[in-house]
Amino acid sequence: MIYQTLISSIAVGVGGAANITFTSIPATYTDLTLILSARTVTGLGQETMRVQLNADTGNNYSTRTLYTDTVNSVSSTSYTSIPYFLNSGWLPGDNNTASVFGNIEITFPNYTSSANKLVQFNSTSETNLASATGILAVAAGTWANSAAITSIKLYGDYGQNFARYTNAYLYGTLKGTGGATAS
Amino acid sequence: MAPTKIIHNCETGVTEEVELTASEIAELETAREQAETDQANREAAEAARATLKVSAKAKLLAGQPLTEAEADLLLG
Repeated sequence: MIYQTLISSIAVGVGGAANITFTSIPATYTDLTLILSARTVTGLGQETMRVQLNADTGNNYSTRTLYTDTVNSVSSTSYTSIPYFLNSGWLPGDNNTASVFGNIEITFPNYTSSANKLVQFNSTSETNLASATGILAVAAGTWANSAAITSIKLYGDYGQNFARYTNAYLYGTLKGTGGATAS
Repeated sequence: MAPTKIIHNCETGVTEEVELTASEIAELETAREQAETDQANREAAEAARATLKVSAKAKLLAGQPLTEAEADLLLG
């Protein structure tokens, strides 16, 4: 059984928010999981969400994404994003179905390790419009840094706000049984 | 109202909504302009691809030679 503890959550209110950040993340867990229910206000289709760790803006990130969508015949395509952030997948925008939010789950295994960090992404950008694609993506990322992850910043690559009612939940997971850390 | 960001301190449990600085707003504007440029480029590329596909199909049906770009598109 996996034991997860809710560390913190962020809810976006009226007016939206350009970015959201968890800071001072405790180092007391084995893994972190961030679950996001979100939408952006972009008018340019779906917006990819970027992840920046410990305010690091350097060339230290790598993400490889595999995705498929609901309109094009492409069954799967992979690409590598530019290396100044992690690319977590797509979120619906203003020209997607109204009030429908996308979902992204991000796992940071061994986030306090002194080795480079691996990151796993699963995302669904939902839409019911025939003219727009809903994108399902999985991605693997790395952050070349030996420091424990203490902050996570989320923001869209189109520079648009997260919509009101976007919610982000940060969980901690302990390895072992009964929620107790085991070696 | 200026654009804002939300910062949550997991240690204290305090959530702050902070107005963006001038440089952060400038970064957002740059990202938005880049997104519009990228979108226009994607749409132009898709339109060109669709035109090329129609041309390639017509030439195939008429038994005419294809251009290299048309052949590349068909062979995918």
